[in-house]
Amino acid sequence: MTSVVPGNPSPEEVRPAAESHGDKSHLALKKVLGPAHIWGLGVGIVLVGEYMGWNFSVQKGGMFGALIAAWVVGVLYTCVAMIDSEVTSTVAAAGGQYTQAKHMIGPLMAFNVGLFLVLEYTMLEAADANVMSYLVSTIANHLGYTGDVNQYAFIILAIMVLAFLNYRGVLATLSINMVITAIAAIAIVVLFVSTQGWNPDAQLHFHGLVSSQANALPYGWLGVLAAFQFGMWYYLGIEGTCQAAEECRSAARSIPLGTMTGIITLLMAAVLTWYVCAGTLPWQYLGVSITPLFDTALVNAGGAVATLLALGTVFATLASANGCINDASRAWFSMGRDNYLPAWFGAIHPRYRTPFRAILFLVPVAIAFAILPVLLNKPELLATVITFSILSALLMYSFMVPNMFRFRKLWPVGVLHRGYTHPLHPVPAITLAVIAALVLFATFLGYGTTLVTLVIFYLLASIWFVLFRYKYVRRGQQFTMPWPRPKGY
Amino acid sequence: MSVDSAAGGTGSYVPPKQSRRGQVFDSVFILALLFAVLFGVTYYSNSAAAPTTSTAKPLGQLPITQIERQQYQRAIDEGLVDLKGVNDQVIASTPKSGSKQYPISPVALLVTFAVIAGYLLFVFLMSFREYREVIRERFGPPGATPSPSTPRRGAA
Repeated sequence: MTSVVPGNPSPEEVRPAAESHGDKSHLALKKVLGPAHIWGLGVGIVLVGEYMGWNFSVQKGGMFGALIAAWVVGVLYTCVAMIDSEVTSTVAAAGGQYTQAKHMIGPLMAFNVGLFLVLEYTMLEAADANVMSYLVSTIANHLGYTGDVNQYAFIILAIMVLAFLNYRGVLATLSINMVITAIAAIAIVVLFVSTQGWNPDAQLHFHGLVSSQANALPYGWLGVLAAFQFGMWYYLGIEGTCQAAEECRSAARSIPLGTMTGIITLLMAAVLTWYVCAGTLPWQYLGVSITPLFDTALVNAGGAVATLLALGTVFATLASANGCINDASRAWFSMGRDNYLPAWFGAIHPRYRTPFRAILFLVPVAIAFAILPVLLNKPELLATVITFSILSALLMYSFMVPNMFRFRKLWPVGVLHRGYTHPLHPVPAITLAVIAALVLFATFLGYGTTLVTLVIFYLLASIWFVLFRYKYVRRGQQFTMPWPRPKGY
Repeated sequence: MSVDSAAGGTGSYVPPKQSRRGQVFDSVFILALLFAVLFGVTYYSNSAAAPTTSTAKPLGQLPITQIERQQYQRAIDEGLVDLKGVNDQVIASTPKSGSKQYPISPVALLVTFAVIAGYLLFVFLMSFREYREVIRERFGPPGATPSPSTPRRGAA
């Protein structure tokens, strides 16, 4: 799986791009992360989707619709993980897919991919903070508190504390992420064990599902397709591991190892989550539940297990928001470093070696996304924010298909040092294209207007970039990897 | 829209320096555009309210299976939902007849497809054009070896 080409430097030998800048050019992001941190970053961003969000696919397509969505969308993300592992183990730079687009497709696509990343993660972070404040209210009520909990305080506090952590250093940030993510993942396994999941007749009941097709697939196969949109929640964000490439001690080892073990963890967590929830709660309830895993624990296990799942829910939410701050700031920073956005954002903190200006700039943006639905009493605004996040991710997956084809075409295997070469090319890329198109269609079924509006936003932003922004970008210097001339150019 | 000039005889493009005011404007502009779109779509697309019922039937009279009744009873006992909520959920999840569950408007589908295709076409064509320019400046004209004076940012 590894190919080394004499004469071509490995990604670790490549000096970070910031080193060649002006006065403060000696500053670079710290290379301190290992595979476990990458696992914590990728799974940390995503695992909240198991605790809440995935179950809306039940509302769209019933229990079996949600299960099929978990499998099919799981294949999509396995393809994403395979492609990302190969490309990022070679393009070891902050910005992840943005930097890939810059080297493989071109500047305008890179600008779009950078925006996809920033929107995906900042909006997910806002949704996390919003849900976090709701959870605090719920838990306070369960503990007997009868007054009102100020949601604003918890939203602002969660984002500010996590942003401060990110500001101070990536090692502590992702070490904490790794620990709280592991606790949240173990909590799901504990729930499975406590419900004697290995014996379906003990505490779980699937008769309601298998008794008739009308009950298991209430909306038919179109409902199954519609469920794909929320099936994304099982895995949304695993591709964020790429953002940490420049901060890995060995990106060629850490990114493939962290990403692939991450997607394996998530595939197992998705099936376990579906299984215990489907066997405990009626699908009509599950489709609208805010905290399905916690509810399952409350109904089926209670006591210490329910407390553990409550803790797991809070930890999963925090880990997701934390990872999102990390990733959104790296993408924003990378665009600033290349002048795609104002160069001011491309600065690295002289002491903590973090992209501190990008981190700070995105704090009020995330707070605004999180608070406005509460402030304006418009809960549907939160739904739009979440849909924007999902759609931005989906557009990025669509980009990864031509990106992969061009990577193999411009620099065939053997020409570059690859930390990992994924098997069966072009099967993963084609599979990704087909499933991404299906999920786009599923989104059209539920949120057609939002889909068109978001694409128009990206189109307007692209026109703005071409007309008013690209003139500030140095042409040749965008190509930062020490690679040979691309084949055919 | 761009300023081309020869730099030291290398033919590299030298971008203009952006003023502080320009940097602030650009940062605010992209965010303002995003918020405008976000609010626009939220206020434009009025989400349909889920159907509710004013009278709550007992669990035994709802069109659900026996196991689901037991599961709902446990959920009620744990305070997760009340009987009124159960009635609302069962009504909301009852499949609609024919194609009303997920209506597909061919016009809307065509418009969506056209917008996405137009967007992708613009981005890819423009990107490929810009990419050629990047490669030419980074590696020199086709067939040439990279000029030693060409900045190789990131190269070891």
